[in-house]
Amino acid sequence: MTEKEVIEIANVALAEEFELEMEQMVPEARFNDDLGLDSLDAVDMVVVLEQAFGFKLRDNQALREIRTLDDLHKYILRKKSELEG
Amino acid sequence: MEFLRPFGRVRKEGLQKERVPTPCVFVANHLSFFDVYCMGTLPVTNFSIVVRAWPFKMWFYAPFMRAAKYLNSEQLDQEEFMAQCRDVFDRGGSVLFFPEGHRSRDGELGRFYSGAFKVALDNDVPVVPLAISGTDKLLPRGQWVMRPAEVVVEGLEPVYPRQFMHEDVPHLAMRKYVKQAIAAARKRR
Repeated sequence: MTEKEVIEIANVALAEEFELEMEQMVPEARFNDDLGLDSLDAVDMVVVLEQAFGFKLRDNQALREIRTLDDLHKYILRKKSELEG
Repeated sequence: MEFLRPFGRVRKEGLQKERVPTPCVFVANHLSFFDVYCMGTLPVTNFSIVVRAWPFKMWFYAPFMRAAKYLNSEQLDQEEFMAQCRDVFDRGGSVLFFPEGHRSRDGELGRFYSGAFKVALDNDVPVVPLAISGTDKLLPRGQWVMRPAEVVVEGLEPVYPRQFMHEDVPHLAMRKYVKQAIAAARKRR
């Protein structure tokens, strides 16, 4: 899976689950201010992405530091390379 | 609700007392400021409304909201919020959510937040979906004069947590189901 595919899968999964427009899914989009996702959504987001990618993403400390879509993409790519590592 | 009378009829459907299990989580679409007044059509009076922080800043409403035990979804953290909902249920009350979080800008249903459904599942209480129509016609956005309109508040079939326990993320599945039910009811109007 390429970096581009990872980003595409993540964006599509989130847009579908949280009823967001694909135009909103830009790297600099902030979860709270730009996408309107709340703290409960953050928990759901992890579950939705785990289902989309088929691996665990739970790491509370790292997740707390995610602010933008770009942060999330980088986090998923890091997790993926750790697993492949 | 009496002050709405000169502007039209507020009709309720499916809201007979025996059809509404309590305690429950009421989930309504949100079109207008007047939706809250329409909750006077519910067959129960013991319920707390979940609102965002800003209405608590209106000095003329805030004391009444506190007295009526409205829940501030933005001021409380998730754990405190869940505890307060549990407390309402323990006392035999119900909780009412507008899961879109704000009024619709175009009359269409907006995105539903998940909180209401998480509360229902965590406390094993049913969701009673409410489909509201017409309140957006009473005072359209940007207008200052009220217009006549027919308002309908329809109570839909209760939705029980057990229907979703087999799903990967039960509250997300329940959210989708309830939103579809409200959308379908509004489409029939």
